[in-house]
Amino acid sequence: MGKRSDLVHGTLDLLILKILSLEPKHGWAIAKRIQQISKEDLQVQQGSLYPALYRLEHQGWIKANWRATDTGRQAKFYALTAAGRRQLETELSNWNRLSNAINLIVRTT
Amino acid sequence: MRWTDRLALARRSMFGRERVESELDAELQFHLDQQIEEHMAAGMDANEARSQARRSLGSVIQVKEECRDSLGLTLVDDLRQDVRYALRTMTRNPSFTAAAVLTLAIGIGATTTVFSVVDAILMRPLPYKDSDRIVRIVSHRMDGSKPVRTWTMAWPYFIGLRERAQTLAAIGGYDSFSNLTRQRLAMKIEGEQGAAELLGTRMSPVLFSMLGTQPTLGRFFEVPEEQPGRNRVIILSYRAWRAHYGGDPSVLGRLLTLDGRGHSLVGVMPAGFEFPDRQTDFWIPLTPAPVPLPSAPRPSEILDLLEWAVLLGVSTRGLGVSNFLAAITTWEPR
Repeated sequence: MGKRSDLVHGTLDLLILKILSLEPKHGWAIAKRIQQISKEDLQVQQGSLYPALYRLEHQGWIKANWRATDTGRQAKFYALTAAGRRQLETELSNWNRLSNAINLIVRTT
Repeated sequence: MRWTDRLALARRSMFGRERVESELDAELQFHLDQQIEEHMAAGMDANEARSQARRSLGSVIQVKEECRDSLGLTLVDDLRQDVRYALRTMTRNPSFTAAAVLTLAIGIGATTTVFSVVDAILMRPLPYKDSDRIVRIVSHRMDGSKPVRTWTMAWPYFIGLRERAQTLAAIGGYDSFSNLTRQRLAMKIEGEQGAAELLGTRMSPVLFSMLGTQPTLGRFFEVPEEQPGRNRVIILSYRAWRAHYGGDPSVLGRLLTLDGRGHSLVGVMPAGFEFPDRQTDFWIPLTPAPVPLPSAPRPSEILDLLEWAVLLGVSTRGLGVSNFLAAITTWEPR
């Protein structure tokens, strides 16, 4: 992970699934998107991103196929499967529970 | 993921190695190119952009390794490499390989054989009901001044022992030799497959119920059928019944000729009943009576003729085998 901020362990899957829930994207675009939305606070290294993508594909949560990008180059696009959509729901509610709990502790103590 | 997709992915992991590899290369190359473009757009010159991008991609090999890990490919890979290495080493040194394989083969073979024998003889109980209550009686006869151990017992001893045991134990004998010829008891038959010779055993009727088996067809001998005049009955093994009579139930009651006398077939034993040996294909009752001597027996034959039966005793409820044996071993015939 970057010098800026390490991702909380286990949240990369959630971020990937969330970003892919809008539209299919290739790896580079996923990394850029995470960086942009977090206003450069989060940076995903390829060393984590691609293994995560392969793992998610292996779990059946995302599906890959090769397509041309806007600039005409072939790239591997990942899209969410139905199972991936359900997984996203689960991970989102887990994340909400976790962050609420942490917020509560941080604010009250 | 549908199971078909899962299968396709698994197949790709196992067999589509080259395609997976090249896809991975292309995907990482695409990423690298995008990074370079971005750096150049930010004003770097081409060389610097390239080296910067390479740095941020980290070790490409390591990334690929981790991707393969995610797919579960490395396990297959490692295994494949190990097997290939082993095969290479073996072909390089064939005589050593042969020696190793031979050693293993002999070792496994010998162990298996020994185990099968030990299992059959020592581990498995005898295939009879209450097999711990069945004993074989060994007697000693005096030869000059030394006792000689013998598995057989002369008929007066047998009769006397049986009278003494009364209801405490069932005592029966068996003998696999012909009363007349003193050869192995054998019978010529005309079966479905033509002429054949079957081997047999004479057996006390009480032994059948003692061994706790049920006949497949017909009945056992009844106790009075050991008496002369009533003992012309015969029981067949399952194997002989199937092989020579086609498993036909209507053979019951048929007369089979043995030692020139007709014996009525009264029963068929179940498959796997092998008593006292595997070769026995028929049984006739053992008659505890003096053997009619052949016209001129040789002296050595006389003892044999009188000692026909090996005995089995089963103590009944309330009296242990050892107590029973203690009670009978002090006994002498009048």
